[in-house]
Parts: sequence; C-alpha cells; structure tokens
Amino acid sequence: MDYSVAVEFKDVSFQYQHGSKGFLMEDLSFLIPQGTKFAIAGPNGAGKTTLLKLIVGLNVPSSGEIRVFNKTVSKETIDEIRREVGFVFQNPDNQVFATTVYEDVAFGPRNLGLPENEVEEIVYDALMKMGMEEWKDYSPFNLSFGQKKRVAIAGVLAMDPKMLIFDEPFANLDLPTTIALIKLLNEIIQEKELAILFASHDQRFHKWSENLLVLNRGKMIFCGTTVEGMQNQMVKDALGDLSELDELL
Amino acid sequence: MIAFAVAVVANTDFVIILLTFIFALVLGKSLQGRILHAIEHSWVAIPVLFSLGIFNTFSKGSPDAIITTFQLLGFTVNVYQEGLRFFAMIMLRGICAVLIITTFTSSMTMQEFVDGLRDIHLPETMVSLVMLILRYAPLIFEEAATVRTAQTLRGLHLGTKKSRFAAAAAMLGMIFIRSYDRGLALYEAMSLRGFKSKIQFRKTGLQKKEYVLLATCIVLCIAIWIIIELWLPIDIESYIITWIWRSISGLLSGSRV
Repeated sequence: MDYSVAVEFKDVSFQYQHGSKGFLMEDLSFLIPQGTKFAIAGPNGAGKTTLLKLIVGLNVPSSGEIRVFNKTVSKETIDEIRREVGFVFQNPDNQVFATTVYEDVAFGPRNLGLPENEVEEIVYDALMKMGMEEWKDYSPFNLSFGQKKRVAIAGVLAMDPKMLIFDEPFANLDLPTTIALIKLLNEIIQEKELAILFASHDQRFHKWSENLLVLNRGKMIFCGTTVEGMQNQMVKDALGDLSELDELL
Repeated sequence: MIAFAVAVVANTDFVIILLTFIFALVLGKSLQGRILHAIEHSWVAIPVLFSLGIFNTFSKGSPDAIITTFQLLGFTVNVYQEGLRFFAMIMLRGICAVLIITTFTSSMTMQEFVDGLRDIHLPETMVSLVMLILRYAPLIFEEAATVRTAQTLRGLHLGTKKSRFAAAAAMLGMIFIRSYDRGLALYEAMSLRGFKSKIQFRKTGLQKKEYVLLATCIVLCIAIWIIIELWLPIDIESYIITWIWRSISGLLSGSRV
C-alpha cells in the first residue's frame, strides 16, 4: 500500500442548512503527505472544524471523494480509518469522559478488543509519553485544562494512530503549557513518524507546520508551503496582519 | 452499599435494620473517620424524612389504639400507636439508608463506586449512565454557576419572585442547550475511539477475601439477631418507639391537653 499520502481531497463539496443559516464548502482538492505537519487556517466560521470532521466521517461530503491512507471514506471503511486517525477536540471536557484518567485512556484499546494486560501496557505507555502517569487514578474533573488536553491526546495515542488531527490544539492554554505540549508532540511525531493536521486561527502556530491551507467562508484561498503562505497577500487579508496588532499594543 | 441500603429500606424489623446499618458502616470503611463526614452531609435528609413521616402518627392506626390526644389550632389530634411505629420506621430506615450511602460514597473514589455497581451486576447501560453523570454533574453545576455569575454581573436583580423565576428559567434553558451540545460532542469523540453501543469496562469481580468478609458479616448478623430475639430481656422496638414519642411529646408539650 502507498502510505506516502495520508489524506487526499478530490473536488470535495459540503453543505448544510441550519435554520436560516447555510454553509457551503466547494470543490476542495489537496493532499496531505504522510509524516508531515499540515495546518488549516482561517478566520472564525471559515470551515476549519467542518473540514477536519469530513476526514473522520463525522461530516459527509455532498460530492467529491476523500481518501485516507488509500481508503475512500465511506460507511464500510470508516471504522478502519478511525483506528488510523486520532482526533483531539478543542475542548478536552468533551472528550475525556471516564471517571479516572486511566479508564479514559483505556477506552479506545478496550474497544479494539485487546486483552486487559495489553490494554494496561498501552495505557501506561501513552500516559508516560504525555507525562501524566502520576495522575492515572485522578478524576479528570480535578485536572487543569492543559492536563485534560494531555489526557485527551494520550487517549488518542493509545489507539496507535498513523495520523493525528487537532482542532485548535493550543487554544485556552497558557504559554508554558503550550511550549511543553509542542515539545511533547515534536518528540512523539519524530518517534512515530505521524502525519499531523491541525486547525488554528492563531497565526503564531502556523509556522509549526510545513504546509498550510487557508479557508475563508468555505473557500480555499491558499494551499502550499507555510513559508509561501505567510507571504501571500490574500492570506494576510483573510487572517489579518500580526504587525498591525503589534503596532496597536 | 446499594444492597445494604436496600436491605435497610425493605425491612420492617427494627433489629434487622439496626444490625444491617451497623455492619454496613463497619464494612464501609467508617473506621477511617468518614462516619462524621457522612453525618455532616446527611442531616439535611432529616427534616425531609420527618415531614414525610410525621403525618402517619396522627392518621394511621385503629381508634382503639390511641396513645394520646391533644388540641392543635382548634383541632383534636390523635396519636396512634401504629402511626407512631410507622413514623419511627420511616425515620430509622431513611436515616440509616442515607447514612450508609453517604458513608460509602464519601469513602470511595468514583471509579470504585462504578466498579461496585458492576460487581453487583447492574446492567452495563445503567453503569455507563451513572459513570457519565458522576463525571459531568460537577461540570453542569460549574456551568450553572458561571451563567449565574454572568447574569449577576450584568445587573440581574433577584429581588422579586418574578425576576428569580425568569433568571432560573433562562439558566435552565442555557444549561439544557450546553448539555445537549456537550452530549453531541462527547458522542462524536467516543465514536472516533471505537464506541459502538456499549462502554467496555475492566473485568472486575468480588475478591476471595471479600466473599469471606461478606459471609462472616452475614453469619454474625444472624447470630446477633438470634441472641437479641431469644435472650435479650428488652424489646428494642418498644424502646425506640418510646424514645421517639418522648422526643415528640417534649416538642409538643406546649399544646398538649
């Protein structure tokens, strides 16, 4: 199997109607190479989360084809794809649901039908990677936002994915926690050669990626290397100019 | 824990209720000093139980078994023996059950509680629901507090009943919407980690020493019950009823005939 491409969008469109409001995403085509970091950028309401959810089948495209690790996203393949793609939501409280950290991380491996001794090994490994092994018996309610985020990531890592998707990974985190999290993720990416796809409206984090896709109101206005993207005038217009903020502060 | 609470509530024998209660507290790690914590958190149940049970004293029983009669606000009120017994039973059962549950829950972690529910073979769906409630109830309370703070900061005045009602309704609506959104997001997150329809739990079960402890307790309970029923010179039930009646009559002494 050719795993050089993690995700491929071919003329994908998606639309939904919610009350009087509608949303339309048209003709998206792009590739995410395996083992790279790929950022989805755009202002609020641009469709970043919608795009991420298309990859794991939480949203269904109205036309076009999405391929993940050479499998077209469909009802038949979705379970397999979800095993290969880990999704970390913006708010860890919506993801970390069990009464202890251990039980939450064990949720995924148990769903894979693994024996309990193997589950235990995987859980400890994932918690160690995220530096949360000392908190295994704690209730997630007693953890800070940053710690809950780490538990959410550990829960996803325990599924041994080939790709990680993050929705606003650094939102609501203070600077030291953000730095620590980036260091941890860099180590994991290097060790496992994972593809990383993350959505962020914060331009400071785009340079973490090699490739950048910019959305504005459901339309793709840029897709290329991050270095090029950050020089692009259309991207600057859509995302705003950081230097303008610096002048104001 | 639930089994003990059920045993307390389902029984009509004073001695058995008391014995079950005592053994439940011993088993429930009450020796770790949690019993005081339990009493502290259980007292709120007493007025509720009292108001539920007191009316039986004046309405339940046969006319030839009236203990006493008194005047209250121009009405003649009878105190029936059967009603008093029933009231004593409600109080005893309720207080014991609440104390047992509070002692147990305050001396164990949420996960131990969930594991315990599974050990007594409660349906998995029910256990999953309890687990989710335990995890998310504090978050819902936190959100309610946040909404209330936001309302107050924007000048909400809770002076009149109308304004209180409007604020509570707005808050409930907000909490419902947030809970719904959270439920949806949680389902998505769980399904991405392989959730189908059932949460897979770690396989647990009663340990050998727990079976031994349980059997010892049962044997001891039966032994003590036999001793009390056959050889003890005092009638515990009458003793309790007399004590309750003395307390009530002390309270009502001002209006007695």
